[in-house]
Amino acid sequence: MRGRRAAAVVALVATAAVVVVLMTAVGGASSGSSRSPIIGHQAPALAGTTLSGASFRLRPSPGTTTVVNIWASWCGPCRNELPMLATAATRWARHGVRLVTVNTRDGPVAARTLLKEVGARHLLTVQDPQGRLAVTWGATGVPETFVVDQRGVVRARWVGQLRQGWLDSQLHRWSAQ
Amino acid sequence: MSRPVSRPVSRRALAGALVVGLLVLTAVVVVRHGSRPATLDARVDAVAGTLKCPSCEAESVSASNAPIAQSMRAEIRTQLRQGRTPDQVRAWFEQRYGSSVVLVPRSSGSQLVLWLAPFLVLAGGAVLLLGRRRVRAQQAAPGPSRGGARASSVSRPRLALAAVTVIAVGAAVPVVTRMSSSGTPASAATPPAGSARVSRAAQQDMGAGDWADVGRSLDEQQDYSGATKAYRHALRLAPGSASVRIRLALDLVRDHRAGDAEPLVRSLAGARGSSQSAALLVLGLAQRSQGEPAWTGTLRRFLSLAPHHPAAAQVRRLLASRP
Repeated sequence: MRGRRAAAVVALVATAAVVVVLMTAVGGASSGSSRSPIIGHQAPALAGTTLSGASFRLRPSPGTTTVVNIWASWCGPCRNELPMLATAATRWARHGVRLVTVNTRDGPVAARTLLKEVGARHLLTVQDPQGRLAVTWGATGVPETFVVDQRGVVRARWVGQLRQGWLDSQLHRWSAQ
Repeated sequence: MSRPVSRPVSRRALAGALVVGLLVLTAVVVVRHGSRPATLDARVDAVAGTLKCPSCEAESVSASNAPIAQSMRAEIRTQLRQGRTPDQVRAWFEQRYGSSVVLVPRSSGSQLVLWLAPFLVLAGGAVLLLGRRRVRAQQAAPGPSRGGARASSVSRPRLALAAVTVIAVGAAVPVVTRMSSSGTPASAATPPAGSARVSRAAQQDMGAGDWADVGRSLDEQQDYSGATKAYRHALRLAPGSASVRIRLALDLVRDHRAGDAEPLVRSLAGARGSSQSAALLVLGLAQRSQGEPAWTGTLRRFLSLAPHHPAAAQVRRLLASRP
């Protein structure tokens, strides 16, 4: 009798574990700091044409930490976080931090209009009309933000609307200040 | 008396097992080759159907209309055009999204064990069941006899043969299925940088924009020799494209063929227009690579036209450090 009860408990726990694992695997990504297979590895390629028409290629540069932000003008949380990103780009520039934004699955006119609206025209923005750069970085949606250290290694990732506290703490950790 | 009876039975069992095994393998190969998608659209769809949309609830990239799924389909299309196999494309996505993005099991490693587990359990169960029935039959027989002992000794090889056949067929199905779908073993999933080339079949329906995309992709992999070939295809289809001409020239410089780059951008560098500054930059770099003294003047003209160009700071450093 005791053996049967123990077996039933073990079966119940096993079933619950399977359900939890399946729910975790099936569910979409929520907002927050998030693991990614690219963390701890060299940053994927980021090359393309900027909104100003110039060519850009991300290369590791000693003394420079890079924040890569993937956004689109049709995405609400992206619109909300852009002013904060623009301020952070200016504030952290003197500490060797550069901000590169990737405008994904969007049009240059809509992107430029939004950047002007929120006072973020100075942000370096690479165009990604087909979304291939976003996929190369393993993005699951927009907005997503990555921190790349001075050796070109991806160190952190944030999914969803960015929090200034998280960005500052990551830059304190990985920048050359 | 017993041997002439048992031998034909064993041979029959062996022949039967072989025939069943061969039939299953043939069926698997025929079905896989018969259902292989022919057009690029169908091949994209087939690969997209084996990848999970990362922002969706239990939906494949093929079934989802989410923007990220559309982007993933675009990436699959480009990679298949470059001649990559479905396994290589899946491995590329797995590197970025983790193993949970792949909806089909691999034919190696821990996932192969998962594939084989049901067959192994089935084979083990069959062996146990048949063995038990055989023992019961012997126990029910009226007393021990030479015939009973013979039945027991004959049953073991037959049971073992049955189990081995089930395991072999079970193991062969996933391996043959995966190999016939990908054309390459799983160990070749990630090609070395620069190995991507466009397959002949895919080249037929490619336009100038597609070739330019391939060139950019090879650029990203720093395969400048491959990129120049793609850009030449693009330029053949759209000879008036200044951006392709400039990209081709730049990659020729990177590929140590600056002499071929110069004539491509010379006329663009001399004509007023939106491409002039980029053409001047590439022309100056080509001249510098060949040791032509004119390079400083060309790059100074570039700086006067585009002082805020992302390459401007580097060009200034180059000019400042010249001997």
